[in-house]
Amino acid sequence: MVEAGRSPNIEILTNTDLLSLKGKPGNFKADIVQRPRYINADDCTACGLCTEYCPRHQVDDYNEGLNLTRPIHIDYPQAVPATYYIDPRSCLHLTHETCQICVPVCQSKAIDFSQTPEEKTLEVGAVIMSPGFGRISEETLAKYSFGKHPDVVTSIEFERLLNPSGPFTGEVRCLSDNRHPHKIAFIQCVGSRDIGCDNGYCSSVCCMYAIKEAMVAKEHDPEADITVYYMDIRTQGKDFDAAQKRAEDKGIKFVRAKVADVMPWGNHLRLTYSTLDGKHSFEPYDMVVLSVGLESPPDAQKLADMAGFKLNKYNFCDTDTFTPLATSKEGVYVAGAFNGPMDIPESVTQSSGAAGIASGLIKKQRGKGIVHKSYPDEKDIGDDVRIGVFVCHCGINIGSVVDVPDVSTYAGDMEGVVYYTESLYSCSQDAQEVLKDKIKEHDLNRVVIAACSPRTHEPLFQETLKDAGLNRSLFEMVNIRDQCSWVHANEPDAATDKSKDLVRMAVAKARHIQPLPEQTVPVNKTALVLGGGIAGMTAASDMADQGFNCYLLEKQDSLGGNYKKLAHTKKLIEQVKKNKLITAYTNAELQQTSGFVGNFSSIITTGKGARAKEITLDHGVIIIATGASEHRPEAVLGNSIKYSKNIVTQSELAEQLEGKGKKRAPDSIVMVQCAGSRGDDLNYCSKTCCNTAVQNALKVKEINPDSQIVVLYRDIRTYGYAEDLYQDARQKGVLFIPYEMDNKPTISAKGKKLTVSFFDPILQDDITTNPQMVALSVGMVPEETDTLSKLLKVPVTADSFFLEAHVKLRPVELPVDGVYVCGLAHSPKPINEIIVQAQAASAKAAMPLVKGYVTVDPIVSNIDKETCIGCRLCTSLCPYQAIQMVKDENNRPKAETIVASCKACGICASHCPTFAISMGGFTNEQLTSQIEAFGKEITEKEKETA
Amino acid sequence: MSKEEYNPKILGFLCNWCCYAAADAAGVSRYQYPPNLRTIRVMCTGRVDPAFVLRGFVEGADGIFTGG
Amino acid sequence: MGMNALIFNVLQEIGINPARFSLQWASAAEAPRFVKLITEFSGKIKELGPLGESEGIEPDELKIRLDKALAAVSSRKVRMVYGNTTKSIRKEGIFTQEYISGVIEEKLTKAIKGAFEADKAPKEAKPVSGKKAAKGSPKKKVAAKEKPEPKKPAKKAAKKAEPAAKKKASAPKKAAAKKAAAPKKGAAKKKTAAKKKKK
Repeated sequence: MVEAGRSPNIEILTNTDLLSLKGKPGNFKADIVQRPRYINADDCTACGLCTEYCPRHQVDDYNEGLNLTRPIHIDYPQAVPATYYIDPRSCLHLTHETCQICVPVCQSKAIDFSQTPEEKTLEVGAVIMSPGFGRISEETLAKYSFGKHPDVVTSIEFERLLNPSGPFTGEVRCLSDNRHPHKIAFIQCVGSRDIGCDNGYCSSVCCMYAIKEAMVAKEHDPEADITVYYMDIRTQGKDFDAAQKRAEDKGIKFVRAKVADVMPWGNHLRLTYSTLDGKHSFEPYDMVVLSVGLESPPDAQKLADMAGFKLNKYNFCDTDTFTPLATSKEGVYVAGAFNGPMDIPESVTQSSGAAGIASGLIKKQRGKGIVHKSYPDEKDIGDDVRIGVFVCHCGINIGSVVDVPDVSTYAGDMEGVVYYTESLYSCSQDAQEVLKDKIKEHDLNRVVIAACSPRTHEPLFQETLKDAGLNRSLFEMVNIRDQCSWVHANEPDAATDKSKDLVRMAVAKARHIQPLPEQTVPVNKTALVLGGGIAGMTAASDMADQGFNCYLLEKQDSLGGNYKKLAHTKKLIEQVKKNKLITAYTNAELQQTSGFVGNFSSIITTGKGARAKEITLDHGVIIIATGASEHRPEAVLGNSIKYSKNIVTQSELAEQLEGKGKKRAPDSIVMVQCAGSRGDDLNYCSKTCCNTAVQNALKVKEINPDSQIVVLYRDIRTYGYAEDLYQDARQKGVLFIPYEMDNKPTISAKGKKLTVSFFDPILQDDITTNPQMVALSVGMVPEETDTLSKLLKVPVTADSFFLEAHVKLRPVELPVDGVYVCGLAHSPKPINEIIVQAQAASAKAAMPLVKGYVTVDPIVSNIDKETCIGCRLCTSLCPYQAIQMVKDENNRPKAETIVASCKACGICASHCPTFAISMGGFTNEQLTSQIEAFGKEITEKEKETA
Repeated sequence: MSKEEYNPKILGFLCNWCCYAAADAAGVSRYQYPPNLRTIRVMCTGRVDPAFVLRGFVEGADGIFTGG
Repeated sequence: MGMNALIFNVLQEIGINPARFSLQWASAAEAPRFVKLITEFSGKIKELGPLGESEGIEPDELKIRLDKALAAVSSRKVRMVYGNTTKSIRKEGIFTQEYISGVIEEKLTKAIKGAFEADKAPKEAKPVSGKKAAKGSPKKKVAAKEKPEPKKPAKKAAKKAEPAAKKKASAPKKAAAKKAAAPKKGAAKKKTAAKKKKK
């Protein structure tokens, strides 16, 4: 969020509605209206004084109405833009034309009640719809006494209760009487998989978030007794099953049951539920959490009408399996939960993908209208240290607690300080001009500003330094607001002392600051894509659409991968072959890769036999799309398996059903889910097998309506809209019978005769059948990820899938810069998700290529080759593979930072046996003098050291 | 020196992305805590060298807090 | 992990309450947690009183011990072991408390104890205490600290010290080579002087 807020090329329009959208791809006109905030965002310093003085209370929407705020407020400290907002629904001035207390209170005069709604027309080339999701109606929730009893809460409210920034600062309390709940129940599928409220789909995310919330609640109170009531646990995501297992190990109970109702029961709640065997039971609880599903956004229809795209029957955006991010209107794309219920990693993946396609569409315009700023040349700072210290009052935010004049004069006594002053608001526009003037006037070559947090304001001041011809590194900030005056409001003397100490430490550090050059590394604008399946080909053709050359490596002798026979794949192969920007190598394998983002060099082998050859390819980025293949377990649930015509995998059945044979749909089939998955052989869930089984069952029923199909399952995971197919199959008479791992089905074959026995929990009896066919829903195993992992130095999970840099925030990037992953090599997933991921990976991979260079923040590590003893500790400790060994002129091994990969964490520096490594802006010298200044009241002594 | 008057000197190393951010947020929410901490910001706690900690004690810190 | 253990061990070695050092985690969203941690820690330190007081160490002695401790963690040998400890904890990918303390017990503690013992032996080998930290840069200190080291490993029969000893032995040679190539650095000069003395 902050990143988006800071980019000069992203304009964020909050409080804004779309009025109309006209035009065609590449040339849309969007009419918008921006509602007034009544506060000037440029002037607001987010000091919060206005909220303190505002006399009126208002329900805090951000905290789900669980506590109160004021009409003038900010939702949470990290909000972007970090500007307060006046809610016109409750502000006394806006509703009754009175009050206006906030106007004189605001020291920076940011409040402006004269603001009116502003209409604008934006000219854009492409549109991405991401309005998110809506809420399940209260009517649906009322079935569980929501609204009747305060201790029935939604999972969203419960998240607020758990959160440290929530209404009870992270303590879970009953809303009825503030007691800590001891017994908590989660009810799954509230507003999902529920025809009663027209939401036939599964919301996909609730099982996992319920598990997470339950675990956090358990962390808060290890004694808490927590039960999750569910129909199927749908933890189909990557490593989600492991999370459920951890929850079980922690003592969280999972009960497969349908909750009939929740009734107030004295101080408690009574929950009635029925289990599969038909028994009804009830249980008292302190708190009941409703795991609410994701509803379509309330303005879905309005948006669809305006932009002219279609919605599906559940009012989410309608998309196609093979173009999962495109709406039915060309040039309008969709990302996130509006494209169907999905979790954060998938939403982030979708948004990257959508941004990539959108930028491909408008690539001819690329580079136009981009904001580039120019700065004066940096001046030489010489040997003299000339520090300027600016101490900020921040209105009364600092000044009312800390004795600012005292701190400022104190700074004036320090060695190296040639100028010191106070300012009312250091961050204001005119203060920047003053700062520039003073730098020139006093020939300052280091600037120390004591004000708020460098995390929010350092970039602003550094910008000013650059404008004044100083390197931006020649700057140090002292936080005397967020971490001083605000938190020691009642101890002005102590706060003043602290401010002096901090200023002294900063000045000590500043004396040792040196200008750090801005480094950029040019980029080879070519991509290497590993794997020629759907994921790899999608990624390659997207890269080509963006205008970049692409090498595509396929291990087999033809492109296509697992889905060679799909019409879509055939089309894709044609596209790839025709595209001049794509060079495809078959029978190809990666042998070796060196280099770093922007400048990789790889050796590959390609061709067979006499035609085999070795080629060296130079490229800037790598996309891994090496896929997975069908797992063929030799034993399933303890039964050894001999695959035959009658014992097949689901994909073999699907192939058979595609054919023309008369008897291709057997009269009786037993399908066994999780055959070799989820702890049977593989540890994980392969996500797609339930869908495939249900699809196959329906196909069989279509061809042979009398066929008897039994599906033995642990949890049916037809998440999202696939739930419709599941319902359909059940209605068509497919029997779904759950089994437990402590009572597994047995499968045996004698000649052609198959025997399957299982326990039926509804009949409470053992059943034996002799089906014509047993179809095994086997999982997927990643291909050769371990080898690649070593070649490219990227990590894999315990299940040998590639491990992304950050599960939620960077779902298609790997920890090594310039290496991306998509498709089945990342985790098992259905085709639409593979395509989205491939589009996202190519969008991310295109970023350094579009830019043409990689910028390096100068805070990276720096190795003094003379002091380096070549011990290699740093190379093995670096989490980002950002240090390599090189030979010096005497052929001795020396460590060297790969600046483009370094993340400035400093592990290398703090672990270097000879202090040979230092960090830009945080050198050993700087930090040591800062520590020394911490201890010394008088600074005189340090003179000799300079 | 009585316990009442004694104000310990505490040196802190806070990670820019975690604890330092939490400390900023504490300010925004106006939480109050004892004014003894003197913070040195680092980009990551990985940067904190054992020698920095020992030097902190040499320079007279009564306690050192490292927050990642 | 490694750092916590190293500081803990060093403080213990010089008789300072390890509770004076605290390594904690709080995410950006956990302001209340940060406040709780820092309030508790401040309270704890207040209870312990000024450094050395509750430990019963006189200020002069305290200074000597702290300088020694600083020298120890700045010494190449201890840092080498420290780095290797962190490395092996990482490598195994096992982050349970038992495992980590096992590795540390095995590797770090001995190195630290060794550093202190070695420091006691040659009296003149207290380079840091005299003119304290003329320069902030620890680099110099390392150079100074290296003086007595080549002697020390020989004293210790402990197996653990052997690989370190080998490296030590080659280090002066390298330094000599460097000097020949570029005899300009202050640190290098110092080393030369130190070596001459020994010879």
